Amino acid sequence: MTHNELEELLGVYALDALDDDERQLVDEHLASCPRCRAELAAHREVAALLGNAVGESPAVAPDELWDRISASLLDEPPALSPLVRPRGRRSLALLVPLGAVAAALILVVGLLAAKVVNLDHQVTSLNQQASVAKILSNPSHQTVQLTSATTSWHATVVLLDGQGYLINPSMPALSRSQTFQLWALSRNKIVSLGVLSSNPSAVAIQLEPHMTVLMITAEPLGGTPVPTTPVLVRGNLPVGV
Amino acid sequence: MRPELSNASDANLALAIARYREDALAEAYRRHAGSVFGLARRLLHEKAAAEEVVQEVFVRLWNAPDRFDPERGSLRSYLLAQAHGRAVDQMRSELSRRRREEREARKTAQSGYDLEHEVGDMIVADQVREVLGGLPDTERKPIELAYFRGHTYREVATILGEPEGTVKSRIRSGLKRMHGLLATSGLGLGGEQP
Repeated sequence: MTHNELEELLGVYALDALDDDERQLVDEHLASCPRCRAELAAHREVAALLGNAVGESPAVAPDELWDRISASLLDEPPALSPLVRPRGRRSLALLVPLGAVAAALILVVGLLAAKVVNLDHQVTSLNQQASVAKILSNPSHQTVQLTSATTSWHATVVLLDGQGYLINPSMPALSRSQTFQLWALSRNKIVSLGVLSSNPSAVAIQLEPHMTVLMITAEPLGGTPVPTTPVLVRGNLPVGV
Repeated sequence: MRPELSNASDANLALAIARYREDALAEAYRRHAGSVFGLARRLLHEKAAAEEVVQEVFVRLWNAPDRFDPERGSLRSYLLAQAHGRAVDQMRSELSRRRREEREARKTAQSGYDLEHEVGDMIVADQVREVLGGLPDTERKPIELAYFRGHTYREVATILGEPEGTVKSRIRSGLKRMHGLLATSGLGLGGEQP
């Protein structure tokens, strides 16, 4: 599709009136076209005014709804939301023999079956497990073991092109007021990669090239901006992930 | 709540949310949830479904605060866009589509369905109504059908009996015209809303 044809779609895009196939084309184009991003922003503002102008005035959301939202944050700490965006693709050395890949795949398939009983986040989990299986089946993937010098706690991160999953964690039990949080050492600073919940499994993570070490700590529910407790497990990232 | 939050700009609020401050999310909810709920309710009709959308939108803001880019618009328009997208997804699911069609069929049978009247009823903000109403019908109708009815532009083309290409350019030119008119009418376009 030409620039002009894509530009023509910006209005309907802003109104969520595109079919998925065309929406994807626009999404891809927007990533590289500041002019179209600016036009879309203007359309979105108009759409917001339309949206803002409907309903009763002043519109009030039910009080108990906030309580529900707040409670859901406690029950379910934020899924890992990368604070950094992935960079370009990099080629990775083949590190793991294919036999190990097959074994890991079987493990993941087993995990998949086991996950089905988890009614809470079945779909998400299955998607994540499928993504893990996809990474493991790619011979270019890398694995990083997070371990502890003093305990047997451990976890594994599988990586492909800066995207990865935390799998097979064996970590201490946490109290209801705690969550695991993942950190990376990046240019000598510790940055949060996100909150992992108290029972992390197949959590998606995104890495940047200058990150060198991954660490997990136990933090108050909801996470913290900087680690407040000792590192439980850690592992060095391969150069140039 | 720490005192500075109630005076914080939306951009600073988003930063505080990214640092896992739930009181910042609460403040964002206080400022914008009413508006988000109003839109979701208008689109989905059912209170429970609208609440679900509001919950999804604010939980997403908590989980992925970096998706909101203050340079691309206000927090409210971001949240409204999120809510609109989610509501439209629901409207397009088969079940609710059938329900909506039945409801609309009933309405048509009972009172003579009049989109113009309905839109007039639902748009409360006078200025926006005036500007939308001031658009040529050829631009206003496709915008209403897409935004308030959740139709894709291809469906809009079928409903109006117009070529798809015509519909998408008219929606685009209508939005541009509204933007121009709203900007000259002194409505704070692009700025943050209290």
